Amino acid sequence: MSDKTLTQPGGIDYRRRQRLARLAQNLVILGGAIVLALYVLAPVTWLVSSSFQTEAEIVSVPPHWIPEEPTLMNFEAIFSATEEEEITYETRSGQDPASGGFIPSTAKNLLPAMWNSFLVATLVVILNLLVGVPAAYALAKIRFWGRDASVYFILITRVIPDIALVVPFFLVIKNLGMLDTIGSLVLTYLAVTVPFTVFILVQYFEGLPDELDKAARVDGCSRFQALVRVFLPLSLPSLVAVVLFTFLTSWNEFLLALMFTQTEASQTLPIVLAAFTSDFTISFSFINAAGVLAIVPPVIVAVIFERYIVSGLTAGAVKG
Amino acid sequence: MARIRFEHVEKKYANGFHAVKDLNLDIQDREFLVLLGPSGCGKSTTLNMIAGLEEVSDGNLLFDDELVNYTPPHKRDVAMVFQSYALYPHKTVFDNIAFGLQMRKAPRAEIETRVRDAARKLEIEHLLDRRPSQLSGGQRQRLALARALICDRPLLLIDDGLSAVDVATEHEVFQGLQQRLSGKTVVIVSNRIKLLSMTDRILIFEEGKIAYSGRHEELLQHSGLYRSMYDKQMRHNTNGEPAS
Amino acid sequence: MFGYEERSAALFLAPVMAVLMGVAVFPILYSLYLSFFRIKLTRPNRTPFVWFDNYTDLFSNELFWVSVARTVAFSVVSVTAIAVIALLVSLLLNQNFRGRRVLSTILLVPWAIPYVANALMWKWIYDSGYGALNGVLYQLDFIDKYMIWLGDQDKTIFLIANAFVWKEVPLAAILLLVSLKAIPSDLYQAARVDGASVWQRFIHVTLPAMKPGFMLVMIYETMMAIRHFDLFFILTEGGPGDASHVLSWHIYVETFRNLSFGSGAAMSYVLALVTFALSYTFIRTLGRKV
Repeated sequence: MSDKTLTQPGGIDYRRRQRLARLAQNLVILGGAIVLALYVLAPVTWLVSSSFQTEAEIVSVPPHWIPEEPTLMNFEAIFSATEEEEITYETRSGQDPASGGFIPSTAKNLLPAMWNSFLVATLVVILNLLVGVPAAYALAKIRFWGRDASVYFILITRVIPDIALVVPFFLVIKNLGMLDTIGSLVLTYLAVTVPFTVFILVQYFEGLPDELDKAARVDGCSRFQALVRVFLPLSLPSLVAVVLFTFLTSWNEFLLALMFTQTEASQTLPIVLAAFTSDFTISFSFINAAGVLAIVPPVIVAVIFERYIVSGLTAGAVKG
Repeated sequence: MARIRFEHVEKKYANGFHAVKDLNLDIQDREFLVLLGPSGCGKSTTLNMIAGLEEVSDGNLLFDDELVNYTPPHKRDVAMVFQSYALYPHKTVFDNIAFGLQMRKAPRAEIETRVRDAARKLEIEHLLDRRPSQLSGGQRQRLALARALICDRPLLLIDDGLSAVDVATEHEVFQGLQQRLSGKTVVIVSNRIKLLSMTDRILIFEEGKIAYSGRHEELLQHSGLYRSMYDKQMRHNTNGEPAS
Repeated sequence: MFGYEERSAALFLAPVMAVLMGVAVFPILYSLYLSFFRIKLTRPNRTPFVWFDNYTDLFSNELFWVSVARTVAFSVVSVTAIAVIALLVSLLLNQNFRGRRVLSTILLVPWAIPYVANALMWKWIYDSGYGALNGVLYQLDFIDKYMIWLGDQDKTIFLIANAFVWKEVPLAAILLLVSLKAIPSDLYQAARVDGASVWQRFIHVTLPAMKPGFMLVMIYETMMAIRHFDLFFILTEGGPGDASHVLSWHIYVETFRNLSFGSGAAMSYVLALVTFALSYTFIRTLGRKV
């Protein structure tokens, strides 16, 4: 018995206690993990489930958690709604035989809006890199008078809420005749995302050894060449993190797009989506399908690049 | 030709720290010079100023009678070995050595021959396809040297880049190098005793100024500080422990 | 002072500075300028200079103060919830267990989706006729008939806060996790040797070590809550009545529905100053974090 239980003179069985404690701990972790997963996934799952339901099913009380007659009709409507069809009484009920809800003609704006969102986001990412990388290099590696002030300045521009910028922005863009253009979005998004980009890159660059930069310059590189040939190849995780954050921020942005866009020439996905939600005549299932479509690209991007998020924020061990 | 002259050179940092004060120094062509001193005394700063990595705040720095205050490092003909070696982690050993020649736009064939030649002389030819992280400490040191020597620049600076390995290896490396260094001006920051006896001149820095200057034997005689340093190191050496 | 280090730095920084000056600094100054005029886009040719009238009108406008109160309420509720939930989540993620990677990936979903989609999703959940909230509560017998959630003045702020918190928690949790991971394990070992229980270790080692990171995250979330707009636009449009009439909504309405750009500019400017002052004091108390 003496090798089975570790007992102290007081009679406390530490081994068993430890085992119980560990069991309790594992249960708590398991419970916590399940709760968290539900908290995060349940709302989204409901959205997805709704998007596969017909109008008839979706208005049932109590709700059908899993569609009994799943349909792709809603998604079809989005992808095929490019025809300039007049919504008449006949065609309207023909589109959704179950009930009076119908699919709006503005559905055809959804895909072009997605394209606009994609275009804007891509341009903003590229510009962010072009503008942000040299700035971050200078702030991280060049010791110059005004360095700290520059850092503060760049960060401070982000303190002001977008809504406060909207009034002057709107007038300026209007006077420049740039209302309803992709350009207005690209420019403003750039200003809004670049501070964070610089912040991420500076943190990362500072983790790279100074002497690498010096060695490159002694070897014959100008500062710019040192940046491109030595620092950039070593900063891949951080660059990916920048691409990720910038892309997502641009894709998800709403307020500025609301201000500057008026027609499908420049409207981005959030705008079109918002228009649907305020239209009471649109079928719920259709809106939900549109919502799912809006969620899919950013989630895919985020999941693919997930591992770069943390590694992109700290330089880790870069040996020279 | 690589003659370096400091005329009333000052170095002040933005935070007010006065690293180098009224430095006047004439380094002859092909001189082998060592800078010594406690940390923060200005010796590394001086070395960096020669390389162009630190800007001269005041005074004149001349290479062969030409003012180089405003010449950036990549336009000065200087080679340097850093304390941490600063090897490019993302490049192979071959590319590390070749980098300087590549920046000069040398033809590929020439780069190939010269890199292999340099690697062979430093006994790292078998490692050309590896990355620096796969090398041992001694091999890294030799790589850093190969990189510094490949372009055959008239001026070589070494910032304490020899103290990371044990005395025996360092001595070996140094013996091997003596030939190759004979045509260059070499300025080293180090306090390894073996080197000191091989040098032309030794400068001891103190708080931004040169406190003592002379040959090894002279300093042994005239400087108490130098002698005590020497004794301490010699004691360590005979005990077989690495010199500090 | 302006040697070649400064010159090269200037070259590298020029693009960023140009963009920020043009698109961030200039608008603020322009906004200040505009706030001294009475500008109504319905009468574009009459823009009298009115000194500080826009500002005084602002402070005597009851709805303005209501919006401030609503914003404070929303921010307090949201940030508190985020603090608690994100802390728990980060503690969970700090443990080593199978499936942890999967869980962190799942956690990315709320963070990645656009706020508009988030709003749409919750609007559907809160829907009075067919929404999931009604459905669940009804099936579980917590309520005996379907309720109009978003039409209830007392509940609106909490419902919107819930949607906001749901989306913000992942990022906050991950940031807190980073600061959790930075705590050296020696501290825990020492506490254990000293006889501290799990709870005591948490109170005396974990919490104090997390404090700077925690403060940073809370400040960030507060800033986000104060300026948030999207959910208010989609879910309630400031209603019902003025139950969710927050400051950002107020500025929007004044500027783009009442088309009164002068007073909109004045409000924006006040908001900008306040947030600036807040962040300045916060950054100062935190010390240099950059």
